[in-house]
Amino acid sequence: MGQRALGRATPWLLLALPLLLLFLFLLLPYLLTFYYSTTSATIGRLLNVQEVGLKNFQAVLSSNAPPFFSVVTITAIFTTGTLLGSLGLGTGLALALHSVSAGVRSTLLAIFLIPWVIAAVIIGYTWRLIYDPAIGLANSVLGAVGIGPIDWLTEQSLAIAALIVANVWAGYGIVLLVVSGALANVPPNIILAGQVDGASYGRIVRRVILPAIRPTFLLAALVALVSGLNTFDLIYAMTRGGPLYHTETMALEMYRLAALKGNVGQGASVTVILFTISLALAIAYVLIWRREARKWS
Amino acid sequence: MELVRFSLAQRIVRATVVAIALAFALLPLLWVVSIAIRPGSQSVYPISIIPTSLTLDNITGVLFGKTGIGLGPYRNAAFYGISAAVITAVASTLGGYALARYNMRSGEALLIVILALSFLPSASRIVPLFILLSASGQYGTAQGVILAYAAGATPLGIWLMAGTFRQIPIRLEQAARIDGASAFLTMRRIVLPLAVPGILVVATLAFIDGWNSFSLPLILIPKDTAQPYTVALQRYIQEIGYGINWPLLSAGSLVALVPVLTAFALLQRRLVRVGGLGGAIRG
Repeated sequence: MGQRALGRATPWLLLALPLLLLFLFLLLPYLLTFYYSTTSATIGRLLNVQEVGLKNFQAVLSSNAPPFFSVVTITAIFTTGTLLGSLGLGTGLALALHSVSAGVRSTLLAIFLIPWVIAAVIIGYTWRLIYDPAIGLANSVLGAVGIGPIDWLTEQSLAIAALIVANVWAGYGIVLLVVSGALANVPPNIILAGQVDGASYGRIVRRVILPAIRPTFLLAALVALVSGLNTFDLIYAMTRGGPLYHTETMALEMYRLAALKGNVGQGASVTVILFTISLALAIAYVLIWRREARKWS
Repeated sequence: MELVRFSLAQRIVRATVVAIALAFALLPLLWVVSIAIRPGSQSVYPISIIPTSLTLDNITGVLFGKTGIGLGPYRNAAFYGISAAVITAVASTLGGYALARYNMRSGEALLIVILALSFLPSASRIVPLFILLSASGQYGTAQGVILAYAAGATPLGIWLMAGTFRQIPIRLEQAARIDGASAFLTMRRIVLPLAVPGILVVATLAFIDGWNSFSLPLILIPKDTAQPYTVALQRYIQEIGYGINWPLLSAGSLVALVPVLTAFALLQRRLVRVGGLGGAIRG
């Protein structure tokens, strides 16, 4: 008996440490958050808290400064802009690099991936400098062609657009990396066959290449979506959600409620909302991924 | 060999697209460099695009100046990065090997749950971790933050290591065992050496995450002697008061980039190679 039972226990012994780590620092915090979202916990009082049911959610949803609806709208616009921008730029670049020789491709790829490894908060400072009204690159370039200084981060729609451009800079790299990997695995024969048949390059991309990388493309889209939804460092460094909550997303709202106002219960309830949206997207991804994997195997 | 043959016009379009993208990717960084290395008196409106005189005063000022942040936060960030890398590498190697080599009934389901976990993004972990660490008396300690980052990097790590171990032929292990090597010796002499490239990638990604950490230590580490570079830098620019001192902040940003860009340069070919499956899941 001994040998066999030990054999069956081995993988679980190996998994004990990683699973403990994941449970304690990934899963347990979320479970606690669900509990705390129904309590009146504050930053100074986390033990012996009072249960208040759904009052925190009511307070968050009916808040006026800023209205929750506007926070959700800003989050949605920011996330959609980030998603479309990163996906477009990352995929476009991956396709452009796919058609150059391997040596040039790996050099260019390494250069294009530089923003991907930079801390989001440093990226925030970098772009805040670019948008600086007095010494920013954006206004310097516009000034050279005779356009007067623009206050990029003050007016709401301009500020959101400026944040999206910065976040695309931060996020296109992961799309480029993933899509490039997938393009390298597309069998050359099916592309050559398209050429022999006289199809134009655009047609080959639409009809042959993009369908072949569909599963990876969906994965990249989901990564870009979830990371856009959860952008914190970059916005914190650039605008802190201001001026006047004009760029306040859900990620900043939960920081403001929990850490600045000290209302852990309300912060937890925003986290629960954001978590639920992210989780729904992750589950959707896993389902799509399994369906696609079955189709391709 | 080039896969697709392009006409001259198509080549010109492609070169233009790549050139514009290169400008978008690099100009912001070059602007930071140009502000960081020019004297403060030149960083005022109207600004010249090319600096006319150069100085290292900003870089030495932000690091060693009277109110500078010093080397302490730099050491702290290195400590966060390296600790997160080591813990992640160990946990991922153990977990990846178990899932790759043992035919567990629940193995596939576990791998999918782990994949889903890697989608939980760091911003939505701020409040949960604050609650957990405060309630367990770990608030303000470095190990709490390090373990949190390691846990964040481990799902992708397990996923990558499972892929790495699957590519190592199981016959190598069987042969060693038949020759009388113990399980431990087989692991140390045969399996781990072959898995090193994968382990390095996992550790580098975790190092970059740990070094770049900002939101968690911002809230979880109130004591300034334990804060990493990113947090110290933001406190520093707040403290120097009215407006932002861009020459100093640019110099500080530049200094922050050195370790991650070095790690990236050393590992980029490997990173790109596993990218198709690896970078895939890093939110």
